[in-house]
Amino acid sequence: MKTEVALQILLALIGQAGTLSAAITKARAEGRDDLTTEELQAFRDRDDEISAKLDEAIAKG
Amino acid sequence: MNRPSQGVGFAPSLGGLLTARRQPRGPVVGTGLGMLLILTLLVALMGLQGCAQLGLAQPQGFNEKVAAGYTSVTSVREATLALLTAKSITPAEAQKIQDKCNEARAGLDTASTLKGVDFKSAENRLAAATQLIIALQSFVADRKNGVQTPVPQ
Repeated sequence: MKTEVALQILLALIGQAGTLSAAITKARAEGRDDLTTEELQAFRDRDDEISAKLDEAIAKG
Repeated sequence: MNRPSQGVGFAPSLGGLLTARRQPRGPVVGTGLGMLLILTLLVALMGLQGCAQLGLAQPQGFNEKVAAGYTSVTSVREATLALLTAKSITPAEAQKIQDKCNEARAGLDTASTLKGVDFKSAENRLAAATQLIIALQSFVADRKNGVQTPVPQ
């Protein structure tokens, strides 16, 4: 079970790192040195989504 | 930053690992294959971190640093969800972590709002939220390794 949990956490880390890296790379490719407000909002939305899932799991116990 | 080559380099090695060892040996988790899979993922993760250390796609702008904070908070929530599902933490502990994540998230939101008004305060908020996130990441890493530490206050 511990291995499975570690695997899930690693996958989550890789996914998040990849998302951030892709957004920054896109900004650089477009000649920008920062993310736009809209791009930043996408990260908030993603966090809201995971937060809701965690709330649901906590409520289930 | 050459993301496509990273993906190409990672995917075949993982795919090859799975196909080469796909035999009726029982569940993957807890076996040598499971450990190999994790090792492969660790190498991939180190590749991502190495990429950042090389100065490629590192957060530089203020919004990028805030986005890095958001992704870290999301990672902590995802890890907490995995630990809770595996019953490695209690629902009460998960709720405490969720509350702390919400606190860090609120700090990041405030930093983002203050950016155009009072940049120094925005930087201070970002720094405070980052400290909290680091404490949460440390807690999650400890629990992942079976170390019993209290939820950060």
